[in-house]
Amino acid sequence: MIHKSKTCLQKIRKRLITFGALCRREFKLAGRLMAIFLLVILIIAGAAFLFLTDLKEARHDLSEESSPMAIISMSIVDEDRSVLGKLARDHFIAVPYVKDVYDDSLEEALARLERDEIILIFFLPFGFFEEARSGSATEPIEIWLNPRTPDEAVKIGDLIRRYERSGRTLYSGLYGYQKLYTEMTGDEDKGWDQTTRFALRTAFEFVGRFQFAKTARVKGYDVVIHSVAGVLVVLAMIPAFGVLSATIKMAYTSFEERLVLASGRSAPVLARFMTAIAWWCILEIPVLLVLEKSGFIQSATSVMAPLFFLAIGQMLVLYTLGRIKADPTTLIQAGWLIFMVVLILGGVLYPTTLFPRWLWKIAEWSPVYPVMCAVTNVLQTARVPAGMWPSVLRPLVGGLLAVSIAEGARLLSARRRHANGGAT
Amino acid sequence: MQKQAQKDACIVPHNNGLVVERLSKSWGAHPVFSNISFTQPRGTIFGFKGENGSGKSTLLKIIAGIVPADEGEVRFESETQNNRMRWSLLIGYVPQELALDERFTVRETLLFWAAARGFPKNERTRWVAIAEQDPLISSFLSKKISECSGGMARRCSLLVGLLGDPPILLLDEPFAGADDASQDMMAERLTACRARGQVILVASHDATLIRNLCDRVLLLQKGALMDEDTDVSR
Repeated sequence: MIHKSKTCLQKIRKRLITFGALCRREFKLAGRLMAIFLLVILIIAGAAFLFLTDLKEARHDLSEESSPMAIISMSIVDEDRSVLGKLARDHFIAVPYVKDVYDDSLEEALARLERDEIILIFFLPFGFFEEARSGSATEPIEIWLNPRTPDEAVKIGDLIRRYERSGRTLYSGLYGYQKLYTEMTGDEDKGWDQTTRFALRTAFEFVGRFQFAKTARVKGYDVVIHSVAGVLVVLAMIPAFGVLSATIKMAYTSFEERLVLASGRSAPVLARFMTAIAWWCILEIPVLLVLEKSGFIQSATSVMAPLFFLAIGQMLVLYTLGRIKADPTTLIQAGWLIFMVVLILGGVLYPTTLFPRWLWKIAEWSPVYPVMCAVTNVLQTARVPAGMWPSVLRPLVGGLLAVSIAEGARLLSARRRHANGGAT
Repeated sequence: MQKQAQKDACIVPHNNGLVVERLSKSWGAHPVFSNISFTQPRGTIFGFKGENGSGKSTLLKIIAGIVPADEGEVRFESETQNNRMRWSLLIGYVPQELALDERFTVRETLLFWAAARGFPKNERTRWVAIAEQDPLISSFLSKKISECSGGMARRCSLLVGLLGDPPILLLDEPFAGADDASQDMMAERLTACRARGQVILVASHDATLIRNLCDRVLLLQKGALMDEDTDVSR
C-alpha cells in the first residue's frame, strides 16, 4: 500500500516536472511578447479609464435624475371610477420623470398640493367616460398645477397643450371616421359603435406602446453597452488563435513525436492552453478592472466566468481544427471564418434583432449568443440572470464536443485498421 | 569515471532484449510492411536499409510507440507497449529531422528534454554536468541550435536521445547532414553504448556506415524484412 502510494506520488511528481518544463518553454517563447502586450494594454486601459469616467458622467447627466423635464409627483382624483382612471394611472407611472402617483380624493390632493408634495392634480369628473363615449361630455378633465413651482408648471402646461392638440386631431379624426362609416354603410348607430371601438383601440395602443419593451428579454438597446460587450467577447476569443497557430506548427512533426514520447499526449496540449489562458488574462483582466473602477460594471468577477468559458470553448474548437491534416494557410483561414461566423451569429457585430426572423432563431442557438447576452446583462444590471447560466456554458460544451468527435473518429479509424489487419 | 562505469554495468545484462513479432502497418490503402519479425539481443546494433518509402522510419516509430501498428507486438524483456508511460522510459528516439527548438541553446535543450522526460532537478543538473565533460558536445553548449552547424545539431540530437541511458536506442538517419568528424564521434558513442548493453537500431541510406557500425543489417524491401549478410569486425 505504502509502495503503491510512493509510486503514485512519484508519477504525479514526474508529470508536474514535465508539465512545468513544457509551460516554461511556451512562456519563454511568448514571454517577451506578453510583456509588451501587457504594457500596451495597461496604457490603453489607463486612457480608457479616463474616457469611460467622462462617458459615464455624461450618460448620468442624461439619465432620469437630470432629464430636461423636472421630476414630478402628482395625484389622480378619479371621481369617474371608470377604466380611464386606471389607464391614466398606468400611463403616468410609466413616464420616466414622474416619481410618485397618488390616488386621492380632491380634498386630499389639494392638501398635498398645499404641502408641495405634488406639482399636479389630474382630475377625472364623475360620468366623464360615459359622456365621452356618446360625444356629449360637459365636465372636462381638470389639471391643477402648483403655483409655487412655476418652471415645472410651464413645462407641464406646454406638454398638456401638445397632448390637447393631439387629442383634438384624434377627436376630429374620429368624427371623420364616423361620418365616412355612416356614409358607406348607412347605419349611424353602428357608425358610432365602430368609432368608439376605434377610439378605445387607439387609446389602448398608445398607452401600451412600451408593453413589448418591458417584457422582452433584450433590454433597451444601448450602443455603448453593446460595443463594450462586443470588445470583451472578441478579446476572449483572440487567444484561441495562439492555440491554433501552435498546434498547426507542431502537428505531425518530429518535434511533436519526440515530445509525445517524452511527456505523453496531453501535457504539451495543456501547456499550450495554459499559455492561451495567460493571454486571456492579459487581454481581459485589465479591461474588466477599468470597467469596474470607472463604474461601468459593479464587479469584474461577475462577467469573468462567461468570458472564460467562451475562451476555453474557442480554444478547444481551434485546437481540433489545427489537428486536421491540411495546408496550414487553409486551416488559419478556416479558423478566421469560424471566428467571423460565430461573431456575427452571436450578435457581436450587430444586434440579432436586426436579423430576419429565421436567422434570429438560428443565432439564438449559436455558442456566442448567450455569452453576449450575459455580458450585456452584467453591464446593464451587474449580474448574470440565473436562467442564463446553462446556456452560458454552451461554448465550452461545443468545444468539448468538437474534441470528442475528433478523438472518436481517430480511435475508430485506428480500430478499423487494426481489425482489417493492415497491409496486403 | 569508475563510479560511472560501475553504474553502467548495472544497465542490466538481462536476457532476450528486443522482440518484434508479426508487425504489419499500412497508411490507409497503402501497405507499408507486413508480418515483420526479429529479435535483437542487448549489446547489439542493428541497421535497417531500404529505399525511400520502404517503411524504415515507420518501423522505428512503431517500436518507439509513437505510431500504432495494425498488427503485431513489440516486447523488451518483460515490458510490452501496453503501458505507454513505462515503455517511453525505455526508449531513446533520435528522429530523422532534428526535432529541436532552434531558439534554445544546447544547454537549454538538454535541460528542457531532461525535464520533459520527468527527471528531477538534481538529475537534470547531473546530465548537464556530464555534457560539459562530453567531447561530443562540450565545446558548443552555450550556442543556440540555430547557430550550430549540421554536425553539431546532430550530435545534440543524439545526446537528447541518450538522456537517461535508455536501454533501447532508435536512430533514424542519425548521420544525415553531419560532417565526417561528427559522424566518427557519433559512431564511437554508439559503439560505447553497445558495449554497455543497450539495444540500438539504426535506419540509414548510408550502406558503408551501416556496414561498419552494425552487427547485423536488415533490408526492408517490398513490405518484407530480410537479412543482408554483413561481415563486421569490431
